[in-house]
Amino acid sequence: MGCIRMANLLEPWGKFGQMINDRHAYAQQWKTRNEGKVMGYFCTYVPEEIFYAAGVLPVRILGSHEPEDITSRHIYGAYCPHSRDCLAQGLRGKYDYLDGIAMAQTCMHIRQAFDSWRKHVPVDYICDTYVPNYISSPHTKKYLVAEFGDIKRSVEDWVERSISDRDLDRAIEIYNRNRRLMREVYELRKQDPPLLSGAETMEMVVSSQMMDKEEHTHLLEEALAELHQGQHRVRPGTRLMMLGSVNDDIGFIRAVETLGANIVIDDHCTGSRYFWIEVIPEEDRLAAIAQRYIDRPPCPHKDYPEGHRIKHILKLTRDWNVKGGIIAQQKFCDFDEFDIPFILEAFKGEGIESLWLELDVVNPVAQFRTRIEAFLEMLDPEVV
Amino acid sequence: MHFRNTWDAHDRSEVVIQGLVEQFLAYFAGMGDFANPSFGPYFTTLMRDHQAGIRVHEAAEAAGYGSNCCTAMRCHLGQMLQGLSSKNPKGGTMKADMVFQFSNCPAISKMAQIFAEHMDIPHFIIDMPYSDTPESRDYLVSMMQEGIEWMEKITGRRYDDQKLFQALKNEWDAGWYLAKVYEANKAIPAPFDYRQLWSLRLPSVIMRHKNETVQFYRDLLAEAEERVKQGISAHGVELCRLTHEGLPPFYNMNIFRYPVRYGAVVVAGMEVFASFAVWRRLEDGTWRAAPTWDELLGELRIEELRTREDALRVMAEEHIRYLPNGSYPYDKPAQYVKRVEDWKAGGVIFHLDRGCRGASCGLMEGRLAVSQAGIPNVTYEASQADCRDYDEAQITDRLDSFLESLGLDRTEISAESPG
Repeated sequence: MGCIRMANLLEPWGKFGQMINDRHAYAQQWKTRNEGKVMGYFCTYVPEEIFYAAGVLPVRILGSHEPEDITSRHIYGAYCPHSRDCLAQGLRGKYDYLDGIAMAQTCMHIRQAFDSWRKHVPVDYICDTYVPNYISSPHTKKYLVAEFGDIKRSVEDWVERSISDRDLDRAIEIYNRNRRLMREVYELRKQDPPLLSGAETMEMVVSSQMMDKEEHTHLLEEALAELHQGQHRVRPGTRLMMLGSVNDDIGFIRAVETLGANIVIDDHCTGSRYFWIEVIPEEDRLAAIAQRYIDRPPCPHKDYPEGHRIKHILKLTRDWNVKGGIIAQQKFCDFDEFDIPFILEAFKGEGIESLWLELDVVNPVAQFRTRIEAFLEMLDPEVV
Repeated sequence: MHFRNTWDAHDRSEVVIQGLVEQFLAYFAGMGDFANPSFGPYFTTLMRDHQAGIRVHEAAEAAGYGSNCCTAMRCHLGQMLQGLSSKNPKGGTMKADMVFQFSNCPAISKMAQIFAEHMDIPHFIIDMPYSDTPESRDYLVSMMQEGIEWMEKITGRRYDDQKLFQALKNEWDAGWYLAKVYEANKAIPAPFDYRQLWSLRLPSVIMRHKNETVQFYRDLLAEAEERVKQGISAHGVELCRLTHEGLPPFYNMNIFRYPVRYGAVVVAGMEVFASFAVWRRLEDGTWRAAPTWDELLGELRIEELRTREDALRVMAEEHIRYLPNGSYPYDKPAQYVKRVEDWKAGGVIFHLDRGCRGASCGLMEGRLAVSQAGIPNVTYEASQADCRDYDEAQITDRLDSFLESLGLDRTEISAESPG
């Protein structure tokens, strides 16, 4: 699918952030270079592999963290800022190059953004799939395979070509490699100090949601080589975990880290949750893809009845030697809020302190700064 | 009587099921008579007694369940945390045999998870697919099959398919009569107003699977038709007809009496129509009463219910096709407009509900569609189950302005008249 053309002047880890800034130009250039279609997705439960196998570029629709006043007549104000910010991008025409959009049922907030988008921002192709909320049910896989089969057929009709097993194998392999490398980067953050900051890491993951995975992998290999050579270091700091609702506010992460903290691990769908596990090959490719979406670390919206999320979070805190947790919840995110008492209790049981912040489209930097400083001071008086 | 029956259900060897399963009562009928005190039997009491309601909300908030959590579930959480969910008002407690939840709303499922863990009761969840496909029916049927096996294992009782068959037919018939009653409300003047219709749902809430409920709604339809024939209106005067979209504020159902002072009657709305009545929904947003039971079986090519599989297929059809899911926003705007047309209303009141993302989804798009269709409308912001969210002065001011803008004047009509 061609090679990315990006300013070579940037350090490898700077390219991911640059990529996020240039995401729209990138996608449009990608279309021209590959004569392909671009599909915007609203939720990471959309099985990107199927689209990629058809030569389509899946890009995640994310906000811009700029104040907006154009969504209020479409979305009620008690829906999360993220969903409104995403819709604002569509209404402003920032994603005019999209040929299609896709949604996998998760929360009502992003569902509303998707539905308003499909009403007001015309595209050629719309994929609206139901991914069971009871994701761990023994009946889910059969259902999901059928749903993914429907998606495959609809994509084939859209791009006017069939998707072969070979296409799916190639897509799975490219996605798996990308996931494996990002996991490798996360492993390097176990070191103290970590080899990479939380902001740089989030740039890596978020940019992977906007790029052709093969091209992202090339960048990632280059960046990983630099890490292995020991040329990239971050200063010591208090080891924190960032968790909660969707959070793509890299500026916020950067602000936290300038105060003497290192975000060494996360539980976000713009972070580890997105890529944590790979597709394990099966004869039925769609079944293999379905299994991966069933087994991935769950969104709070899909974490019942058993409740796997908190066990997973606790394992991450132990493995990454976390001292404190910042729960960054999108304002109005009801699902995350149902989990918060349990997260706080679980953290307390592990001796992990926590700070709970509500995120908006634009965050109150000064107020957050004061609260984070106080939190860090409580965790590690010597550092501050 | 419904909740009184909860406390001695075990004495009568009945199963006690906790969870919000009021739309699925036929499913449990196979276990014989059962008690279902929701997640706690005091919800209605807590809606009426505002101070007590505030106390349970505060208990939930003190435990960390913040203001973004569904207000109805927060109320249940507060009951649970205050030990009310299982507390007999005459003393003693009851322990449910199981927590069972159909996930027609994810917040309810989360509640079931928290409740079951807190109360240490085994629980089971059935996912309700937001998708109308053959696969989604298979998926739902498989889960319901598994749920029956699970209930048999938990209770040591045998599930009686014959009881399921009869209960399912009753449930359908009750839903069909109810839809017909709602359709009768298209008449001018309307025989009932929203508040009355909301109260008339109650037999469905507690026993929609029983013969007597079918009989009740059969009689109610006859009453509605008689009222229509005689031109009897809900409030004596009907100068203007309105629809209400979004859940009502349960703690202040008198909001529906307020427009009556202006001679306006709220005659329709999604939430009252959608809870228990069965509907055929057309692409243009029209809702019509669903087919009769015999027609339904004909559509499904089932001559007579003989197997559990067939019964569960009928049930899946009922829930996926004929019972509207209020948490799916895409079709709502067209439905809001069509409901105004079909129920001959002159305006819409939208409740922007801070406490329920499902009921609030599609409301702003709906308002846009309604406005673009030239239909007057107004919004008010509150929540379904937390009276602290209800600013009475502001809301009535907004309603005053809206009703005056429709050319109505305050009259001397008593808002306390029938219903």
